[in-house]
Amino acid sequence: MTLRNLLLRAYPRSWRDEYGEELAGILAQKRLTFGAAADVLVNALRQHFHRDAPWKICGAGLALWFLMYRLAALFSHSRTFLLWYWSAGLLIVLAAGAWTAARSKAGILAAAAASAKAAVIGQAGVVVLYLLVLPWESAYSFQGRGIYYWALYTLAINLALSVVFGFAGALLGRSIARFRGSMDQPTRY
Amino acid sequence: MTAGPGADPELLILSSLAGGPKHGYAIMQEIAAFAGVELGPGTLYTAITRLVDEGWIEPLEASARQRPYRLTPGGLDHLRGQLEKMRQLASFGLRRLRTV
Repeated sequence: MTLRNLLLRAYPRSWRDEYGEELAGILAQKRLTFGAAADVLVNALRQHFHRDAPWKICGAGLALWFLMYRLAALFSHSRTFLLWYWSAGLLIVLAAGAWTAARSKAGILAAAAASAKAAVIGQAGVVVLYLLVLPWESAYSFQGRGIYYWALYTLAINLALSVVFGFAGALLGRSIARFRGSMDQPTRY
Repeated sequence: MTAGPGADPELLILSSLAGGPKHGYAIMQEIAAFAGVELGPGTLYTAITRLVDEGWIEPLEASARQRPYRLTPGGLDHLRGQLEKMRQLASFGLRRLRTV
């Protein structure tokens, strides 16, 4: 697979079906400089933001954030650090609900579901990390409970929180949609 | 892309298509010639996507890998309106400059 094909693959499939052939034609005619490649990648990201479901984008962002935190936690355990971890994570979950409601004028339940899905996707990386670590941590015990109990407990709490934040996000998203409707502005991307 | 006044990719594409239907590569070349702006391929197609979604341009029958685009009546009105605003701004600024 050539670099040009890889760059094209960075775009969402729906966009590629519509414009991929034309962009491939232009890339074949131009010298592929670093600037041109960066331009294609940045605009591929913009198309993902425009076309992909908000829960997928927020879920990917959350997964990245959690993994970065787990790496950073190797070096710091301060309370401020933990506060950043939780507040940023919950803000991303809130954004998934708000974005869903604002973009498609979806109902509150759909927005809350989007937040919950973003939370599940976001935690997938951490779950994999846990699965890798568990064989070495099976002797872990806190308040008489093993690591499996605490892993499920954390997941349940996170999901419940994400639904609550999804509802809040939906209300926020509806207000944004109403505000944008009153401004009567075309969507820019 | 070289930044500068009038370097809005969408306006540049609409201006280029005002001269007749063209495909993406021809639009890029013409913009580089008349505005001195090098649009990146990604920037060009993000702008084309938005213009199609807004209904300001429309694709024609594809020839080989390239599909030409043409201005719609709505796109023509939009371009006219935008250029008129720019003309008003330019004449206001030039009038002010004469008093400096």
